[in-house]
Amino acid sequence: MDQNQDYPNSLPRPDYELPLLKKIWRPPSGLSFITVVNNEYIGIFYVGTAFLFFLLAGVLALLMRTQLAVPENNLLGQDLYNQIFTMHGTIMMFLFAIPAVEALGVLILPNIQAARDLPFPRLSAYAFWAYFAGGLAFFCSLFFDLAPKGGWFMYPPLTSYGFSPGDNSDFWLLGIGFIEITAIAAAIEIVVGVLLNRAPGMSLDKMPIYCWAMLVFAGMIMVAFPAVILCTALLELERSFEWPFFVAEKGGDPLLWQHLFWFFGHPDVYIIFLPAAGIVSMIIPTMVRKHLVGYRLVVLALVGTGFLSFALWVHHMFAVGLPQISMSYFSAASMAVSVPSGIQVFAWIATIAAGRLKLTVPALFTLGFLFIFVLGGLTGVMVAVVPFDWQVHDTYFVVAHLHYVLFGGMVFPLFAVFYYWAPYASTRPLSERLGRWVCGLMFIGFNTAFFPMHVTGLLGMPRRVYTYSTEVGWDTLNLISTLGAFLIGAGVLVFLVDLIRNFRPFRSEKAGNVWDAGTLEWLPGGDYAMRSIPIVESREPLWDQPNLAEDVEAGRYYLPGAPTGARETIVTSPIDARPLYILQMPAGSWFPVLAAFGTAAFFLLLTVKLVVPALFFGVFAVAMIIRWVWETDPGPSHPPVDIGGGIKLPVYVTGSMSHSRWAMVVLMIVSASLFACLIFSYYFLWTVAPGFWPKGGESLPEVAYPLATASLSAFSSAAIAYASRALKSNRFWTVRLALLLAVPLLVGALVAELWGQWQIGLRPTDSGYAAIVYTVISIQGFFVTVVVIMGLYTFARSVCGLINRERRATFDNTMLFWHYTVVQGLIALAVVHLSPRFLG
Amino acid sequence: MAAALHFVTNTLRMLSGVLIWGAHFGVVYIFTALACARRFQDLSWLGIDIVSWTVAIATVMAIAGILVILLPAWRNLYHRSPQPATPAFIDWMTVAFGGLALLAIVLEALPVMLVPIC
Repeated sequence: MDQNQDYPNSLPRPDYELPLLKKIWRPPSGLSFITVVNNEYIGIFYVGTAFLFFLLAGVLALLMRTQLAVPENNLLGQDLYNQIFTMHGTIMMFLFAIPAVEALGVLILPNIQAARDLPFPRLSAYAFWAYFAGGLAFFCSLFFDLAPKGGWFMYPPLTSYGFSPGDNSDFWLLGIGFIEITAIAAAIEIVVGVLLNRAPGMSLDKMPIYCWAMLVFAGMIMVAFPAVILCTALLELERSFEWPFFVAEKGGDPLLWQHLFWFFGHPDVYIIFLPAAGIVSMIIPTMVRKHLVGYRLVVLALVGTGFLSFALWVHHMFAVGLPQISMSYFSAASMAVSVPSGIQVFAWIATIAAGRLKLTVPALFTLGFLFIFVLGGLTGVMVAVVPFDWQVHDTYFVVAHLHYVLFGGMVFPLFAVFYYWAPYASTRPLSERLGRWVCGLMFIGFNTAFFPMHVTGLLGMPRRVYTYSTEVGWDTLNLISTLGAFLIGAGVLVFLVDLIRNFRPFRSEKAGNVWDAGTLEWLPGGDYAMRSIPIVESREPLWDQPNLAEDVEAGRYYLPGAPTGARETIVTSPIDARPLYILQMPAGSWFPVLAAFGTAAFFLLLTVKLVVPALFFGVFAVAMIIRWVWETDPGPSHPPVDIGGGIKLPVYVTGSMSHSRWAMVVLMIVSASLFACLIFSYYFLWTVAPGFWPKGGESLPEVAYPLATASLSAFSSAAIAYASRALKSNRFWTVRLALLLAVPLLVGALVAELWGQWQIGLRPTDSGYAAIVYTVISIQGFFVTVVVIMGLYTFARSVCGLINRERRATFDNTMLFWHYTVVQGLIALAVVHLSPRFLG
Repeated sequence: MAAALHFVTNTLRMLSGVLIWGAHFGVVYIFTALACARRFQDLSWLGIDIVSWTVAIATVMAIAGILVILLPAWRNLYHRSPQPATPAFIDWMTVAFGGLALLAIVLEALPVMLVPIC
């Protein structure tokens, strides 16, 4: 029998095929190189930038430890110390940890799933450049005495206008705006990428654990990040315009900040940890050459942790005077989350026990992670016990705990990954000899630095003090901690030497599968990822499918060339990974890069109150985004493509399986989460300060106003729905007129609501109630602005002949978001107008 | 269309246990917060306060809801038809998430018997 019959495509392949594939996926050269969008390039830029921020924040840590090495030290001074500890925490959390795991996702996910790239490569490029430019500018605030100094969680009232005048706190609030954008962009990219861009056959139960971890990570970002977006917006409104959300005497409450911040902040720990856990679940099986023990249980643990972690936020607030039973719910949830974490730890131990562990550098870092993270988890259970937490709250015990969890749970796995995946990206692997030094120095240094802090905390040393007296007896422990910190620094320094000596990315030849790993990122390939896209039959295909790498490289599997003459990959169904259609992908462009710099400039200029230039750059960024997406709805520009094995796939789809529809659904979930946090804030302020609420309908706009708003909103949605029907029969001018009609209807609805509140004399500075009502209107105003831009954009595309009944993905997405905005507005209207009447 | 619908229904079923856990947690937390803030925690019936009643009812409903979804999935796992409507993996995960959610719900409801309300 002909061996070719077992494969989707036969050999030999046409001579032109591979050179064309290489040409299409080749990154731009010269100055245009910065417009590159290939995931391997953007991924390495991203990881490199995140690591740069790790180094910078690490230097700040060494400065802090030097200050604390001896009592009554005045090396830094109080004010500078405050800025440094705030920047250390903020950079480590927002500019290093979260972007680092996003970056690894961009770098690895497509290859591990045998996709040619993630579904929205320009979005990844935009997110990276916004993060790069904005992050560096934010860091530089330290050099101008402008860095924030309220701690990484920035509690008001300390950080509000009364106690923190000047721009320092604004730098934190607006400066992390682009990190929020980056995170949301990553969530969209990862959710759609994991669900729709897997190799044929890679059903959910064959998906590598790392993909599960990244899916949970992205899902958690979708739900958790809107809380921090909202609370930063509220505090900035309070600081800039004196809207009193957190001012108790005006019906606000500082605890609102804590609820919102920790609703983000605690899941954030798992947002950082779960991808790291996914990495460990990849490294251990490779190092013992055995399949992961308890694959399904580990999936259960990852997803279960993702859910349970949203019921833990109050365990950061045990000392604020909440009802005892409420604290007990959160204490119990804190215990419950240790069950899935424990499952993972036992699965790793069982896997190690099932084989023979090769003590390579990634394995050593993984063992270090296990030791440190388990200790951090145990102290986590201790601080979940309310009476114990009261004893150690805001002491160095908590500093020790959080570093054991975060450094152990994220930094050690990250260094394991640097060594594990370096041969994937570089012509040479990193050095085993130097790596052992790095691991040893970091492990000993870490435990020397942070273990004594448990004792320092139990002795009563509070967090964030810039110095201490000789009489309190904390000097020896602090000196030991400082020595440990410098040992970590020495380890990182050796790592840098290793990087400089051995890491050679962006070259066609790679060191390759030096670990004999079983997952698909180790397939041979080039800028196009892999020559052909394999059929996956197991979780470790390279172990279980003989000659897979050679057959993929020869072009025997799906899509061995570039049949549409452009960048493309296969979209597969989300559960069983059946091929559905060919996704045409855009190449590099200046527009995402310019949009990113515009976005960063917008936030940073707004921070220093340069409003007009900020607005200019904001408009510029939006214009660049519109220009970039103009090219991304190509329509059915090519007949169906034969990918091999008798499968012909369309190159364009609309409707429920369109990848852009899925991205829009992710965005709607993010929006709904933001809106839910807003409604929570409304009712929270009602709960704590009912005296500021209108009584039984007094001091509310007449019913005519909300009725007008509701009617106009509903009519605008109806106009869009009518346009959709008209588009089915290609009645283009009807579509355009309906779009143009929907815009003033929706804007009119917003104006009616705003005017209704304004004309009764309600002003946002009056009270917490007034401020939250105007915030509901403002946020709805933001959504209306976005859908109006989308509506006009769709109109423009229609006028240019780029929308018809076959080519309607843009229209469908606009329609979906339009309806979402209207429904959200109607719910908001009901809350704002009915609640005071029935609850007041 | 079929693939998207298949995904949504299977995902909701698979995650139903933890989704019910989330609803249960939200109800008991918000009701307790309101009872303490608005001082109606001392209302009682048959000598049992209103918060305990609410937690108990919410817990029984949540457990019942999970069992309704968990048991058919359990049956599917052990009596698989030649062409099952759902992949075995989905059924297994439905059962597992249900089990984890049951544990978390019971653990979070227990304090109401041990700790003063406000």
